[in-house]
Amino acid sequence: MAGQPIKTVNDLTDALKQGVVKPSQVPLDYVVIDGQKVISNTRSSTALINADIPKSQWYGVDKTGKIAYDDITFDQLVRNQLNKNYGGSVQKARK
Amino acid sequence: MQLSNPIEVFNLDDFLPSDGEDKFGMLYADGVLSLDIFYEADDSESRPARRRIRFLRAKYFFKTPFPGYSFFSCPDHRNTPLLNSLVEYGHSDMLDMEHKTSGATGYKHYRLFLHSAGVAIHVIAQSCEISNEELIA
Repeated sequence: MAGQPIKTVNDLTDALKQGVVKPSQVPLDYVVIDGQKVISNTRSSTALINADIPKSQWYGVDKTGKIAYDDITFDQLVRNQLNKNYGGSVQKARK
Repeated sequence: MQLSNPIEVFNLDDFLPSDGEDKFGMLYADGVLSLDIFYEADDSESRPARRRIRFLRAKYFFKTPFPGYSFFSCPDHRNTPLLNSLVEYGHSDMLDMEHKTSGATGYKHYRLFLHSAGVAIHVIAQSCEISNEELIA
């Protein structure tokens, strides 16, 4: 695995399992919506879950109100995903 | 550079699954920029599939990380639900500059975000077209 490119969720999962990548090297962007933390880059969290990394070791980065690209905030990106996949519900997304 | 008045050309959600595209590829040849978007087809077997967007008479194109730094500013993005769409801008400073320097006309400024792959793509071209879904063996 060492020296191999990480291109997919499975690649990252394997790298985490083998210790090639540490959880602290996988920042998880999140925003706070209705008092709840909602992750922006869900592929990274999927890899952490699949690698059985406990949430206490996850490295979260609060992007609430921060610009993601152009004039688009991370909040907009997350709300966009919530609307697309969970009918806009934070609770459904956290299940 | 300022952009404004984004108009939807088509919505990528019409064919992408909920977790988005798997990967993408870009090829430029003979003035045509081809953008291949790979994803899992919405059938019982979730077979790998591809759609190709062809930008005809492409003059410039930019690929940047998304999220990331943007050369462009479009305040309209704050209020428009077009984050999953290929859009064409009604106004583009870049097109204005191009027109002033070369006199070129008939070009359009396109933009799309590939959220799962993590890229933003801007293309200056005369037109674009999208293929039907192609299942990959």
